[in-house]
Amino acid sequence: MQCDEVQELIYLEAAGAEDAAARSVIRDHLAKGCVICQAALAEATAAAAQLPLNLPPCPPSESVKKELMRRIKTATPLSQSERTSATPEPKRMPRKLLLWPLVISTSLAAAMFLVAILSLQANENLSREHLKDLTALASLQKSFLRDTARLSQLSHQMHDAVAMEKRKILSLETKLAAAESLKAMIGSPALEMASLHGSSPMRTAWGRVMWNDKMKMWKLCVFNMPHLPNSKTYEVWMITSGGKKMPAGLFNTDYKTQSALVTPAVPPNKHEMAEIAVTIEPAGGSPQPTGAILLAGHIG
Amino acid sequence: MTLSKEDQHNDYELMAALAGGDHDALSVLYDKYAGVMLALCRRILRDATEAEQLLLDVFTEIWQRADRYDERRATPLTYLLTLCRSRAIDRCRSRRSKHGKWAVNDFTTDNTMESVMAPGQQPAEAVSSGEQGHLVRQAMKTLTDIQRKVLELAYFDGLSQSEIAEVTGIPLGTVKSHVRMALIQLRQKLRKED
Ligand SMILES: [Zn+2]
Repeated sequence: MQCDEVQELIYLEAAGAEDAAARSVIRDHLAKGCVICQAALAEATAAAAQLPLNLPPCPPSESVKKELMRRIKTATPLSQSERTSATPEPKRMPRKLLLWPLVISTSLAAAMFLVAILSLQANENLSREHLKDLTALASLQKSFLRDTARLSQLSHQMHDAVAMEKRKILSLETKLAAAESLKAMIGSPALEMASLHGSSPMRTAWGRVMWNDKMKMWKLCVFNMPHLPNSKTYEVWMITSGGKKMPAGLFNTDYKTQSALVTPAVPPNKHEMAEIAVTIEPAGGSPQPTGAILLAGHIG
Repeated sequence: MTLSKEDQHNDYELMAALAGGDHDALSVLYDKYAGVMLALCRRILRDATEAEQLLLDVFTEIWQRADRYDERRATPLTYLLTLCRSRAIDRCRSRRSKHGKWAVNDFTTDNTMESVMAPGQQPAEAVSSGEQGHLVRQAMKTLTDIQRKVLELAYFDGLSQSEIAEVTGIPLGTVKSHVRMALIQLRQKLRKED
C-alpha cells in the first residue's frame, strides 16, 4: 500500500478510531521501515495527546500517591532487574549512539578506579603517591560525571532538532508531491479549462477550473472570496444538464489572500456535467445546496 | 501546567531516572502529571473511584515497565497520556462488554467537556491554566463543532470509525476526513506556537 493511503489511516489510529483492518495495514507498512509514515504517526499521536490538556485537571486524593509509593517500594522496574542480572551493559544504551563515547569513558574511569583500589589493597603502605592518584582520579570522575550530564543534555537537544527536521521534510515532501501532480496535470495536452464568475453578493469573486480526464484530476482555483468563520464552509457542486446537483467537496479560503486551490471530487459521469458551482453551507457541508450560488462556470 | 522546552528536557531526564529505579523521579512525574491524567481517566470512565484506581495502576505500570519508553517515538507527556488513554479505554470496553453494547444516547447527549466538570465550574476557568492548556484551548476553538465531536467520540469514548458513523449519522468517509482535518489543524496550530 502507498504511503498516502496509509497516512489516511494514520490519523484514525492516532485518534483511536481505527478498526482492526486499518491497524493491521498500518502495522504491516511500518514494519517495512517507512520512516515517513512512522514520523506522521508520531506527529498525529502527539497532536491527539493534546486533547486531555483541554480538560479541567483533577488533583487525585492523597491516598493515591501514598499507595503508589508503597507499591513501588516492593516492585523493582523490569528494566532495572534485567540490568542487574545477566547483561553487564544497560539494555537501553546501544540505540543511544550519541552516548557511546561517554559510556566508554565512564567505564574506563571506573576501571582505572578499580585498578587503583586493587593496588592499594595489595600495598598496605598508603603512600603519598597513591593518595595523590586517588584525589586525581576522584576529580577525573567528577568531571566525567559533569560531561555525562552535558552530553545527555546535548543528546536531547539533538534529538529535538532531528525531530523538527523530520517534520519539515515530511511537510516539504507533501508539498512537492502536490506540486508535481499539478505540474503533470497542467503539462498534459488533455488539459481543459473553464472560467467561473461571481454573482451577487459576491460579484467580484472569480475562479478557474481545470481538469484532465486522462489523469482523472480536477483543480479549482478561486479568488476574492472571503475567509469563512468556523460555523460555515464553501461547498463545490457539480451540476448535470438536467439540473441535478452533486456535492463535490468543501473548502475555506486563505484568511489573507482570500483565495484557495481546491481538488473537487471527480464526478463518475463527467460527460453529464454541465456546470460547476460554489455555495456557502453550514460547517460540515450539506447534501443539497441551501445557500445561493455565488460562483459558477460551464464545463459541459 | 506550563511546558517550556526545559521542562520537556527535564521530563526526558525523569524518564531516564525512572528506568534506573529512581523513586523520586516517579514522585516528581506524578506530581506534575497526575492531575491531567486523572482528568483523562475520569472523562473516559465517568467514575471518580474507578478513575483513581486506574491512575494508580497506570503509574505502577509506568514504573515497572519504564524500559518500554522510547524517546525517539514520543515525548514523555505524549507517552504518559497515550498509555493512560489506552488503559482507560480498555477498561471501559471490558465494562461495556459486560454490561452490553453502548446505546446511541450515551454519546449524543451529556458527553461534552462540561458533563465531567464539578457543578458551578465554567469551562473557560476550569481548563488547565498553563501555557500549553491555553494553546490547546485556542487550537480547539478553531475546529468546527462536528470535527470536535468526532474527535471526542474517538479519543474519549473509544468509538471506532464505523461506530462514530452509526452514532452521528455522518457517512464513514466523512468521519475519516473530519478526524484527519481536525488532527492536522490541531497539529498546525500547535506547531505555529512552537
Ligand atoms: Zn509510508
